[in-house]
Amino acid sequence: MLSDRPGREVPKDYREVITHLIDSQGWTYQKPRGGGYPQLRRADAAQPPVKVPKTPSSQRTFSNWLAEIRRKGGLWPPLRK
Amino acid sequence: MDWFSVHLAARAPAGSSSGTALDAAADVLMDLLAAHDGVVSAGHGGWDATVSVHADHAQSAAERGAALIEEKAAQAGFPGWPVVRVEAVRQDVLDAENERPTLPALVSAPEAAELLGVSAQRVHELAADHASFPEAVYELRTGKLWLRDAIITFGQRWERRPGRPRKVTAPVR
Repeated sequence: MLSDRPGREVPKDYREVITHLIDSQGWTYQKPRGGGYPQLRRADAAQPPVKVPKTPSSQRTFSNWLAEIRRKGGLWPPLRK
Repeated sequence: MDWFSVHLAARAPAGSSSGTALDAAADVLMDLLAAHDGVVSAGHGGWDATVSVHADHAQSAAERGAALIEEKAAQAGFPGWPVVRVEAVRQDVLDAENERPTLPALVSAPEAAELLGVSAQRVHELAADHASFPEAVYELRTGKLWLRDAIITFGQRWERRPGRPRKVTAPVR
């Protein structure tokens, strides 16, 4: 399944993580259809998609979202070489 | 009072999953939890939500956060599936965890050799013969991978004997 690319519909901090997960770990991103929230899904389809906040949000929201991404198997931060 | 991140997971009883309906409910729940730093994932027979709450300690945070999530999930139209996990973690602790890489650092034989100050061939000998040499965590067609920390620890505990290993010769009769 082809992935959308994240744009201005999601805050910048989120965009950086989403782009990395798409390009390096095979995740797929889906822009909102009909007013819903964008969502991010791991290549392993057994994992449920994680919704992405649309508007600039607090640092706590970003932290909670990042923890959920890691819980679903996302590798972040990237390993340093 | 501190901020705590509270995560709740609910799973469907066997044979009662409903992916499409959950997707719409998840969008509604995102709206309902936005004021509480909420994040939602849903599908394939389960859903998860995380919020932040201000509380005295982790236990009261877990209770308040779980009650908040369950109330809003019901409003959003989620089925009343059993809650299988509730976790509360202080927000600064979660931030520190988020900064640590999820995947531990791995090394192949040449890198392990560098860490131990030996040749790659010697690494393979140690892996085959030395009882305390760490188990490889992955074995690919191109070779084995070890946890970097395990190799470093082995290097610290390894009692090296100077010189070449003694040849084992058959006794002369």
